[in-house]
Amino acid sequence: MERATLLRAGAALFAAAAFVGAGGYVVAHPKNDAAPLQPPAETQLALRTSVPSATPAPARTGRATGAPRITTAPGVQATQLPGITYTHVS
Amino acid sequence: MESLTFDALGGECELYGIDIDAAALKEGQGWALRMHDRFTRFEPNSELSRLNASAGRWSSVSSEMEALLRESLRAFDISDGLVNVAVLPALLAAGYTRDFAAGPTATTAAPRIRPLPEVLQLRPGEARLAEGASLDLGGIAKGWLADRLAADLGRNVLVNLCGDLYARGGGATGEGWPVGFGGKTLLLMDLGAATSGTTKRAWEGGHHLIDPRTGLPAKTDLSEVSVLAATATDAEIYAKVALLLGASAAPKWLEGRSQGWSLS
Repeated sequence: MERATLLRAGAALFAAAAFVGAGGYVVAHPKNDAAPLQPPAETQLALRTSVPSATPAPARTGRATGAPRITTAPGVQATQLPGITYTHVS
Repeated sequence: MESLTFDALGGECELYGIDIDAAALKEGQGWALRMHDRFTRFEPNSELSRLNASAGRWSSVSSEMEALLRESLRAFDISDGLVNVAVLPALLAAGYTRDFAAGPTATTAAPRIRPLPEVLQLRPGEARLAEGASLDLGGIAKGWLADRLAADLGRNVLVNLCGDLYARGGGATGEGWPVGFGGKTLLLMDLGAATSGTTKRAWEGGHHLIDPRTGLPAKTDLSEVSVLAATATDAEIYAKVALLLGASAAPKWLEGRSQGWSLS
């Protein structure tokens, strides 16, 4: 076989393999509308700009500096939902 | 859900309500702005400035001012003197003499802070400050206003005035209003929350949180404390006390008083 024919056949095989591989990946990863937001996306949603201030606005989880130690009474429930607002230093 | 965001009391304020008219929130905003004008110490003609200027004699006060001053006396009492609105001379000495955006001024020697009941007398419609005494209500007014506004707005509302908030009712789901607290989201129903800290309104060599025991900006191993309590006023008082007490003593003091806290 000529060298040019071999190259053409190789390129065609490579293209076919890429097509089949991509199709397989798409089929194996269907969109799930009910999937929870991943933490980075959730954090982005929770971020909200505010009036200019000397310090940057924290995420609306009221996250304090450092690692806060939280204690809550049994009647107070936590949720995975982002807060609509938060308590913070004024 | 209706909501409204506006600037007042030195920061961002937010009102939320279920089954409520937008007009009612707008009315709430107007009230908050009027209270700001009344309680600010940065406007020479505010009611607070006039009261401070009248030290030494009896002065007429509005019903709101009278109620807030009574609340200030209660705050002094339940905090063992650690929440004292008579710290204004110390704030001025620390350089916080004007609106924070304008920057601090030179510091002077810290004055002795007298106990509030010694310098503030009240009778219906009137107040009297002792000579040399002056008040800063910034440490207690926002929580108290949040409680009042939430009570007036409706049965299912959330009022957040610059971080001091009160959640009334169960929110949109009935399980509680989702509120960010110390890095988590909590569902709050009929609870107040407030945060005290030394990380904001701070400048080189000082910050706005005065320790009444020393008359100086507080030295504490905590930088920020958030607290849940039955009212926003109490949450604000407890947060300040916890911050002043420090990491080792704060949990014991908060236990039995607060529904939750975050220390950092």
